[in-house]
Amino acid sequence: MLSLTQNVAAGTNQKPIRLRPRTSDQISRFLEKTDLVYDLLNGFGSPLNVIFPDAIEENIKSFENVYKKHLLRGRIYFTSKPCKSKALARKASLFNIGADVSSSGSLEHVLAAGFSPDRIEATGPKNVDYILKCLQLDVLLNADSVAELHLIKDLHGKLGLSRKARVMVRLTGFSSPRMHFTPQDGTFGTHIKDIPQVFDWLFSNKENIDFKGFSFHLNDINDQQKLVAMENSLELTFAAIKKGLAPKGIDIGGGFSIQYAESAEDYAAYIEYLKKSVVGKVDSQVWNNGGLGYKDHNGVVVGGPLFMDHAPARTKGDELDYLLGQKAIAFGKSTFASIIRDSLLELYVEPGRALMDQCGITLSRVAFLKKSTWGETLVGLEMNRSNIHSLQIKNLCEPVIVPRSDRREINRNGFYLIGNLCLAYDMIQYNKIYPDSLPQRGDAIAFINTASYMMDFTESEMLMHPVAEKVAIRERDGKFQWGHDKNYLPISA
Amino acid sequence: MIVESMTDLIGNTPILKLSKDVTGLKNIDLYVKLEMLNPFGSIKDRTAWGMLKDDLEMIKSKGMSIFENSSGNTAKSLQVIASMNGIRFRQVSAFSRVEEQKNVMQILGAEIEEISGANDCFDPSDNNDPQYIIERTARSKPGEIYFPSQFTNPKNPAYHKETTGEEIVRDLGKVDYFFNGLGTTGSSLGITLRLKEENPECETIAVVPAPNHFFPGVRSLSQMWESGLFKRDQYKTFLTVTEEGAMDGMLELNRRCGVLCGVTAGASYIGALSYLKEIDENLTEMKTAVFIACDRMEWNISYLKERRPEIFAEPEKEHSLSRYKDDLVTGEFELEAQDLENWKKQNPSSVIIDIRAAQSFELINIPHSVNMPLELFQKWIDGQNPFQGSLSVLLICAVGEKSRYYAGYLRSLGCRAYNLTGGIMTWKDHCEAANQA
Repeated sequence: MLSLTQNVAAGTNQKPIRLRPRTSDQISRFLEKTDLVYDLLNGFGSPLNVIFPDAIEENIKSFENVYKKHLLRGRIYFTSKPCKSKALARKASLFNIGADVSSSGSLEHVLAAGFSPDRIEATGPKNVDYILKCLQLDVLLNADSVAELHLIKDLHGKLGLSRKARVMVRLTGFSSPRMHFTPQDGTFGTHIKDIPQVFDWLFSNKENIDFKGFSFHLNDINDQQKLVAMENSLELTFAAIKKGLAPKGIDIGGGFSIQYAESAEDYAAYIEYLKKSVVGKVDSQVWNNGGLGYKDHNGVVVGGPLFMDHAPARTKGDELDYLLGQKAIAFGKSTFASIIRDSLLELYVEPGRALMDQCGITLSRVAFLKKSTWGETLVGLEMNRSNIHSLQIKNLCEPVIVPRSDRREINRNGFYLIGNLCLAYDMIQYNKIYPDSLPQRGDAIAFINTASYMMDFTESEMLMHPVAEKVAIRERDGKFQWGHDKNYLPISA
Repeated sequence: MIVESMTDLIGNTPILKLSKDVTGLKNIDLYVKLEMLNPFGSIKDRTAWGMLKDDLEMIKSKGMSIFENSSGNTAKSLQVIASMNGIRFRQVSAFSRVEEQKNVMQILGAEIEEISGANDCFDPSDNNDPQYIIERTARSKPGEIYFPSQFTNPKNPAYHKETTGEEIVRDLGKVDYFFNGLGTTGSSLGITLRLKEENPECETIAVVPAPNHFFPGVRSLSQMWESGLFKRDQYKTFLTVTEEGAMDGMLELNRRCGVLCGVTAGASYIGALSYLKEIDENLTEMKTAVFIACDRMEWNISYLKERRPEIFAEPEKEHSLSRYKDDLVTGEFELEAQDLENWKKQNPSSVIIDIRAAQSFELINIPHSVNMPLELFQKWIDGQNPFQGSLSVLLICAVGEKSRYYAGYLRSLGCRAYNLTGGIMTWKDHCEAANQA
């Protein structure tokens, strides 16, 4: 437990801060098996994505417990978007959860993993092929626009299906008389001001369209805005019921955080140091004197971070629990949980990132060390920025180094990780990192928690470098077993 | 005492010497500057007045509006001064996390623009910083918007040096230790500059929240770099304080010293005690320390309600709900949905109470049932059985879990209470099945 007060002067002086990644016990144990790590890396090549499917169970439980606590029914949706691993989807299919897919290909992916169509929900922009498959398989369609609703109805008619098309309607444009939001544009959903016409349309197409409820998806980490969206969605759900429609529940999407940094204190100190570097009080901590979103404006830091909060106050199920426990002000004094439960509605969540916590790491071999034009130490990896989505998802945590030998060189001034693309710069991380020792050529390093949108979200065969293979790890009786991701069996047989 | 304007009452606040019995310090006199006694309730009255007073006539004559980036006390002070002078004020801030501050602003008729936080799906073109938004708006309407900009305005520290710091020196002379929570850092800087003129050895110790902890109006260490007024060199050191520590400090000041200040003052106080304790033991001469009670207790009620609900708990009655252990065997008072009609016949003197939320009840309910939402119901039955001895009571909730608990409790008070097994959900399924049959 944190002591009530603490003198943090040490954190404000001139020494850079290490930002260690939060690492599960299982991953730590795996990385201690140096021979195995090297065998895999040598066998499959660098980079290599290593999947830990067992870790998904705890993440699912984190959400299930919240449903139990609030006596709620509904469905937690596994999302295939953050990681293409077959093993993860295969493992996820064993639990009492659904699968949220976002393309025709990801629909096939989860079907192959063992999800039956009644457990699948289809989101994302949809073309004719994608909608047709969903209609034929009776997959729940989360409609993103009025035009899409019309297309669904049209294709449903052409298929001549006797059963109704099951649809949800994704909302946007939330507002509250109590809170003014500075508008932010977005591409998802149908504006709530257009919903009265949608009601009429749904009502007049009741024979073909089975309206299951409203959904939204906000990545915004601000809980206040999410609460307004939940309130608006519930108000519209009630309005729908009064109109004679029969929505079954509400879908509050995802956007639940995970903790990337080992320690919230270190993360706070790291960011403080970063900001200090932006205004030139200490040496730059970002490649090419960047600020990762922060800028120097006459000695003052302005702008916002282009990276995630690595140590949020609430993560995963705790965040859901918090949201459900808040009062739904438009509904008197009841909490969201009681309104949803008491109205016999179901609650659907789509925690993409949060179900992938500690489910994957990315291994790479160190190819070379060199100095940059400005004299910074560069550690070159046998991977590139497409393998870790580093242009967008800026995970600042240092990787774990798995040294090949005991020979160590003390790391005094920090270093940058670069990739193998023949470009002016191919940054794997834009921030400088400070592990105790410098990795050597041939050493393995492991980026932690990459199954959440990092390892394969943007992978490509850029400059004809290969994309990474995936292996899935199972730990039985203290021993690690591995196999190719596509060959993973979710149970011992 | 007759004054011409409420703004005449800004400043000249008293200083309280805290009893050694409370502080436990032998060689250090700890003083608290009672800034919550400013007319609008906080030290920010000075900040607002210091920034506005010279330009007030100009703002009025040009018909300008005032926009400011503040989620709390500064906005409140600016709003009052603006209202008094017939000037439009707009508060632009990140989400207000203190309900009372927002309520006060609403009473004063404020225009509030709350800005949602950073997006975790990155969009580098998104610049949603309140400071930036105001600057942009001001640029687009030249001559219409007056932006005091408390985070960058040199008048902020200057006025604190001239008044707050000056008053402390006038009352205490040489000060050795000065503690303050950091917001814009304007008051800390101004006061520190004046205290150091009097005693170059004076140490200023900044108090900031521990990571992921929150005190209204105080920013984290890393946010300091976003304040144009932050001068790192002026601080001897930084203390992080947890929410628990700050609340302990606040309650001690409230209860033992009669200082009805808020949690931010509590943080400075607890920070001061922990820092001074060690120094105190080795001192051979008397030293003087001071901290600021920056605002009033009342703005902090919801903060405490959320974090220390036990303070607000009602005294327990002998047979109170909170003492009830759910130990009755399920079954003896359970009623299945299909037996409902029979039960009604067998219990002609009965009442059916649905404890779900009103809106949920409106959507679907059992004929002749009465809705009493749980919060009301709990208060109604807590410690007493409000039902006549022979009256049978059937409780309904969504899934039959909560109603079972309260039926059990009412039974323990001697009431003929029953629970509808599976709640309204099972009843609905039963009705639908019956309709289909």
